[in-house]
Amino acid sequence: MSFELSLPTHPSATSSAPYLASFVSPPSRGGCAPFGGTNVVLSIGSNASLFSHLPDPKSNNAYELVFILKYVFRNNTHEHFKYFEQYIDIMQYIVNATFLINTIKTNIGIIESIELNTIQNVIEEVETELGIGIKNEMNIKISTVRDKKYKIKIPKSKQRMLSFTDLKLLGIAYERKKSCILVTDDKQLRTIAKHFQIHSYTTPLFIAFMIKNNLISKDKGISFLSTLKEYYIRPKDVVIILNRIKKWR
Amino acid sequence: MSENINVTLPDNIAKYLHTKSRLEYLPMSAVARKYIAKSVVEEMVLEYYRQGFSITKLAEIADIPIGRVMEILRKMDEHLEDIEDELIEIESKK
Repeated sequence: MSFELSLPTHPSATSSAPYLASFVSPPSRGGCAPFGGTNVVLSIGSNASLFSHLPDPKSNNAYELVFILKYVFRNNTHEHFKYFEQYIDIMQYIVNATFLINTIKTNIGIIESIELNTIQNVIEEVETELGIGIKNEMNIKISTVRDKKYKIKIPKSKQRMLSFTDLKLLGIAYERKKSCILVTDDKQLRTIAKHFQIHSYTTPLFIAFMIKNNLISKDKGISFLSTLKEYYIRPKDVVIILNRIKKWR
Repeated sequence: MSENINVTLPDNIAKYLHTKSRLEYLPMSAVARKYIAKSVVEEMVLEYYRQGFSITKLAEIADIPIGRVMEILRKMDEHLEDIEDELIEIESKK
């Protein structure tokens, strides 16, 4: 089998190319075509051979690995991917209600191409707000993360300024900070996330990230941002990002 | 829970409320309540936001939808200070 992949690089990760090469290239594991930049052509002999060469789950590279495997197994059964998720216990994009409301409101299919992660509270908030069932009625791939006690220690003075949902999201993002991006348009939430070294993007920045990593086309991103500008909380941000994106090749 | 508050309004405002009350087929007190609630909620959201409250917390406190909070905050016309740096980082990570 061979797959052509376009890999987004996690903001906190260094280049994944040498690592990926070492992981998939030896002929005994199936072989890998030469690649440069973020475009990878991966060939694997059998699924089983990959299972025996998993990287350290705590490393940044685990993020790229899961991303590859999602593509690899997209046409295979869901069970394969479940195996890796359990092993690595990793997430990619953790979103809150502000992001979902903004993207759903624009009515431009921008998030269908990626898999999002969130918590049940966020799903309920958005469903109440928009009066639609996100999981059942919309074509969005969104997983809910199971609830547990998180280790993040936020000062009480800050805690009172955050909702229960915010605290839970921060807890999840903190535990997976090396392998996730928290997507929120809440400035205060971002400030606290940054304090705990959690990587965070606002909706327009996330769109720029998606374009840059070939997750969506430039035209689609521009069309989305042009619509978003009309009601976004900080329209000046959208204008700055739009102008910059238009200059990208 | 609700509380009765007697207020004295300037003539021009009272006159406007009378007109609105006739047009909307509502008692004048209902029209006045609507306007007061709207302004107080907006004021409250902006004030708490400046203090550092998050959007979902503000929605909880003011008992309004998250979308409405974002709509109110849009009036502040602010922008992220680190947006240029973030963009440079995104561009360099490609």
